[in-house]
Amino acid sequence: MIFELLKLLWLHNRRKETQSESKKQVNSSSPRNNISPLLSDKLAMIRQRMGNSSDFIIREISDSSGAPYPFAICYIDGLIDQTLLADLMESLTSVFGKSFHGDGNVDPSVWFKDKLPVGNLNVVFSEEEMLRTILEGQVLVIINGVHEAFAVSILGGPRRAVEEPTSQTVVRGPKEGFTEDISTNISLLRRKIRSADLRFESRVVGQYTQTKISVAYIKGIAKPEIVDEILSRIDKIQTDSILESGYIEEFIQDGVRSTFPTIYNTERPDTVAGGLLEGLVAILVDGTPFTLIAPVTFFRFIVSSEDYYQRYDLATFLRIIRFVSFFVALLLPSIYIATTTFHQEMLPTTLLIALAAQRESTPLPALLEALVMEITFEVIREAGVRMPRAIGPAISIVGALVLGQAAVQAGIVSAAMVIVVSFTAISNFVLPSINMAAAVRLLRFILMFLAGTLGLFGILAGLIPLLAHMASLQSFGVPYLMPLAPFNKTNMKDFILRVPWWKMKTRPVMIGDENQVRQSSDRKSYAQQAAEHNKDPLR
Amino acid sequence: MRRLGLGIVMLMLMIILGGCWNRIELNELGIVVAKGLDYTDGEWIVSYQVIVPSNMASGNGGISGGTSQPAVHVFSVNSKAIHQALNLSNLEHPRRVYVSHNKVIVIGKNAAEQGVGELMDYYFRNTESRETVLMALTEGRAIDVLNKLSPPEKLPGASISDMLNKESKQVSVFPVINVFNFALNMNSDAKGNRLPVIELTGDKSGNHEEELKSQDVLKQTQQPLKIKITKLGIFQGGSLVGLLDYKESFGLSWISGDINKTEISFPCSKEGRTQERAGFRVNSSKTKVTPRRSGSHYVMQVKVKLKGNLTESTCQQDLTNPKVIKELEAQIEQQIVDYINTGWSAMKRLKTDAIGFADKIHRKFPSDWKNIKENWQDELAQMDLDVQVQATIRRTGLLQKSFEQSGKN
Repeated sequence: MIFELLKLLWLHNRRKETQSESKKQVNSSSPRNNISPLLSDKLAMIRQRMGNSSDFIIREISDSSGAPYPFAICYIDGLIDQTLLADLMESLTSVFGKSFHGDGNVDPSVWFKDKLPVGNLNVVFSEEEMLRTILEGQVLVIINGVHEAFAVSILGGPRRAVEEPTSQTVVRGPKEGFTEDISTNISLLRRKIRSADLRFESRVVGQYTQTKISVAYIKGIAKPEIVDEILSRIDKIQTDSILESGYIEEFIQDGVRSTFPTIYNTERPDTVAGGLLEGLVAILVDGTPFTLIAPVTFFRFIVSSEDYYQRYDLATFLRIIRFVSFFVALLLPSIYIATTTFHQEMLPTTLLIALAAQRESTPLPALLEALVMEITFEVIREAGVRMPRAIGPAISIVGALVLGQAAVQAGIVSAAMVIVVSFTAISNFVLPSINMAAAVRLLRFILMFLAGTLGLFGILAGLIPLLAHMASLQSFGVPYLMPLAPFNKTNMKDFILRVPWWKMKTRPVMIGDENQVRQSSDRKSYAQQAAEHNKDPLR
Repeated sequence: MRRLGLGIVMLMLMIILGGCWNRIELNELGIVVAKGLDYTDGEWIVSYQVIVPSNMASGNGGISGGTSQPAVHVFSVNSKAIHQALNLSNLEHPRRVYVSHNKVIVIGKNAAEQGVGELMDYYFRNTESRETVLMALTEGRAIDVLNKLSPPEKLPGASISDMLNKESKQVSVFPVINVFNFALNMNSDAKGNRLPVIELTGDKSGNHEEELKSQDVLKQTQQPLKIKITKLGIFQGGSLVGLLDYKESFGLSWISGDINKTEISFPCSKEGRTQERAGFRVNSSKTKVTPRRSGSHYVMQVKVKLKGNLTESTCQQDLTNPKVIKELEAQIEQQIVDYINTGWSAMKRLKTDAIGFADKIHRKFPSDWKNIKENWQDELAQMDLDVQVQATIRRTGLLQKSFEQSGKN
């Protein structure tokens, strides 16, 4: 009966309070919520709330076994470490348990709290908290006669090991990637930045999923306004589920209707650490290896973390290549369509003749041909991503040979179109960030339509609004085209040109404003030092 | 959402209103590589040499490389106006005749005598034809040049234009003139123009001309007939007034400064045996023409400076001796003066200022020009040349003595 009442009361509270407030209540609940000290009452309450889930386990131990009090442990099978659980049982039932003498002088709750031989022990007072701790994967120890319950954290169960990230690979640089487990991810970051100023602010979002979210930043580098803005946007999320950081990204990003991403995602801890050190804020979400970084500008999507590990001249060259690839991926099919159907006079004569020879037998107009090939490629690509691994080689043979070679030989598509489409596709993969590559993929189709109807004029008619749109975008207050528009000389050091590390004396403007200086500038320049080294080879 | 919808509607409208504008697929184009212009009985005959792309490239997908057919197709259209011919071409050609990539326009003798003013008007009034097209003259009909293949090249039009360009760069006897330059000269004070003449040379007997129209000619290593640059046509205004031969044309090139690189042969010494000759490769040359007043008339001072290397020598002299080099240089100079005088007398004969002397005088003596403008041709006839040539032999090559000379010692 009393449980029914409690439930009603809880539901009533729930309705009255907003989610964030209730969260606050969870975090700082008042002790000794009028909960029955009786073991049976507590267990009945928990059983009633949890239902008969098969993975939920309650183990009751009566006092006949030598334990001072009857007690019970509740946990969810699969979320805890079985060997540690056995140790806990051992200590509760044998030597440690027997050492408790239930004379009236000792408050059992204080005694257990102080003496229970486990590392991570939380005292929980309310019914809500008990449920939460169980669902989080902690073991709840309930002792008869004690008001509170004890949550022991012996997390375990299946968890993926730290592996090399599959989405953003590098030749040189750390090979570890984030995993699905947020505590592992936090530890990966901690290991990179061993500073007390690295802070993690936790939130729980999702009514059902209760997903842990951690906002990481370096105090003193990150702008407090940006951290506050991100936290407040996360707090405003009202949803029942967060399964991936993509949910959070869509909830909190600027430029909601834009196809351009304004938040960067990565599964590389070194990328995140690099961002944090520049003054960015990272958002780690439990259950996914993809961590978000904000605020970011357009040009960060063309940068790979490897640029900072390789020599600066090579890095600069690679960035130029990526820029070219960006424009190729965006524009090559549309330029091909525009020049071959509207502006033949712009092609060199020999190229025109070669293209004309190839197009002699093709039945489709260039625009349609390009669309067919692009869509074919998208289908092959999607198939390549979705299909079972074992069939992988088969699809590439079918895609390359049957669709490419055979279509050209049958005279259905021209060889030049196959070259254009494949080069476009490959250029698209050069972009290190998947969601920028996706934006380019979508925009390519729009530009192709414009090129097919209005020629180069159409391409310009598409590019000018696109540029205007990009210039209007912001990511948490930072203009999207930052080093270019508004132009900034300092940020140009890490733009297309990646200057050597000893020249990067300051953090990027507008992001790392709080703590500009990266290297003290009163030292002799490294170039001078190097010159001195050259003088004396034995030094 | 409404704004997004609006954007999509605007995009659709743009596509529909654009209506694919002037879209034309590559396989609907008849790419013209050479054009011919003839004139008979008050009508222009415009000939087009159109590429057949499927017979052109090797990697053209389904169709195997067409070796049995020639890579070009030639047809002519009669019309009263030149641009109308382009329009009328659709009556007999399945594709849209596309002249932007035209390489060369060949003008028949009749058309040249009739005047090419209308052609210039057509080029400058319309956008599709380019003014960078090279111009050439032919003594017969233009169509007879266009319908001949020019092995080993597949495209005769491109072959003619390449030939004209190479000639100008390496031989420099005939100038390379495109439509723009022609129009510029035509409207200058001088009004004269020079155009290289191409013609079929060789054995015209038998069936040779017909053979050159067939793809089979590509299977032979040597053709009895060949297209060749032979003469220079001189235009006054838009009309042909006469033809000059090789030597005369070379002389005009020296005066006008059109020499890029060329090669001349000259006798080793004034009094020596005539068969002892030497070859000289001109690597750079500069011509400076300055008008001078002398009495009531004008003298054109032509200063030519050239540098180059000795490429051949059967001379008996000792080439290590600087005096001998000076002597040879004097011989070269003499040779060039000879060319220039030949060209100059030919120009006087035709009474046409084909190298722009009028503009030089106009610039130097603007006030005089008004008086002599009316009877410029008479003025030209009374004009004299003051030719000064300065040749420098920079190197004599890897050999010092000629083989004949070393054999004696």
